[in-house]
Amino acid sequence: MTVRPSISGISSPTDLQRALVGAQYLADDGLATAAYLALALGKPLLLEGAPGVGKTEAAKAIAAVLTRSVIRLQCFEGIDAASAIYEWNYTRQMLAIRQAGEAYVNIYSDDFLLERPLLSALRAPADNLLLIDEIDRSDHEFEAFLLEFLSDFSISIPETGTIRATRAPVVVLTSNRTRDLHEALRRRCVYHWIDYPSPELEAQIVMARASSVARSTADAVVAAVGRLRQEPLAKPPGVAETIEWAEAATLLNAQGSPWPTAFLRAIGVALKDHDDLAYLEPQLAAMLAGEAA
Amino acid sequence: MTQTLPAAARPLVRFPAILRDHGFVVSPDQTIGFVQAVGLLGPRGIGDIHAAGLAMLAIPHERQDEYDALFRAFFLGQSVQAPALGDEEDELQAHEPDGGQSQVEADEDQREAGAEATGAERLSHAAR
Repeated sequence: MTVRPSISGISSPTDLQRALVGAQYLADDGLATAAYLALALGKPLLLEGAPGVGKTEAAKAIAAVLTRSVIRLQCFEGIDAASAIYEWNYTRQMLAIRQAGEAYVNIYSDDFLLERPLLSALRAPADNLLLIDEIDRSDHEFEAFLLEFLSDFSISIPETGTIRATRAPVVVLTSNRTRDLHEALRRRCVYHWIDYPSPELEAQIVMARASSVARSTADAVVAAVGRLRQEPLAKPPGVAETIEWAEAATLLNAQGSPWPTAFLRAIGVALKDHDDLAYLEPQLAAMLAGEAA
Repeated sequence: MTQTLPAAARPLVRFPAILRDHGFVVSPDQTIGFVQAVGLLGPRGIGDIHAAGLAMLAIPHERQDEYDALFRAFFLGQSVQAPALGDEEDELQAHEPDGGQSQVEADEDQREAGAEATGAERLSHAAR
């Protein structure tokens, strides 16, 4: 295992935490430590947590700090190697064969190869950050394949040979924990559980991301969101919803809607599930009555 | 040629073994990563060792309290005596490093990791 204590000028979790602020991501100590260790030890970073806590944003912010592009592999049920690694461009191969006539044509050259995220990341490991998003949505077979990929960072293409990364790419995996990941996959990663941010941190995030929002509004929205998250909702509001709600309520207030009516009228950006809205509607006014920003 | 493990690193190798004894799945590679991580972080304090363990040993979120208790028991010298079967009062003795003792009430339910780990978890709640 190659240890690199300093990566792009970052030589401690504190350095990374400060750099992430520059990328408009406020990370707590635990996340900064785990991300720094993953970078320094060249291991994948596995971020688990409820939807909307900022896992994907964390990966994007780390990429911004390292001045790398994000190559995103969005996982889904039934995802296979063709969607993740490469495909041959059959149409182009057929055309090439017809154009060549009797002449020889190598239809298994790079010209006919359609790169998918994993192959792209292997070929340019220094320029990119590979984000394997919502790994828990994929099935066990794909997870097993990823296990192999993350072990030696190489891919075998039967027609051309093995492609191996010249160095370990920066990889971030996210999981909403809809199912348990295989222990072997977890063991290969540096792990961090991202929780909802503390009210103080979440208000700071709102202020950093939505410059039009007053601090008092940010505090009020964060308090209201905290109460909503305690309810048994199908889709509890994430951090992005908190920011959007604060922005929407500020806009409505500027247009003449008083507090807390502005909060109530903008509730659609925080709660995006009809059943959740129907469940909370009778008590919503009472819940937000105190939020007179 | 074999190399002897530095004395300062020995507890870092023993701790993953303690976790294994309590039902955590920790591979030798993770132990190596844990030792490397502690070195990378300084360590500036006991918090760095704790954070390195959480990250490198991939402690599941739902077992973090259990991990915290075992960490305290191992690195901070707190020890927990598991309740004996049939103990009428069902109480735990928590021994502090200064020699003092505190009573910790035991839960009804048993966890997968067994009585020792459950006792350690209770200690973590009592210590907060």
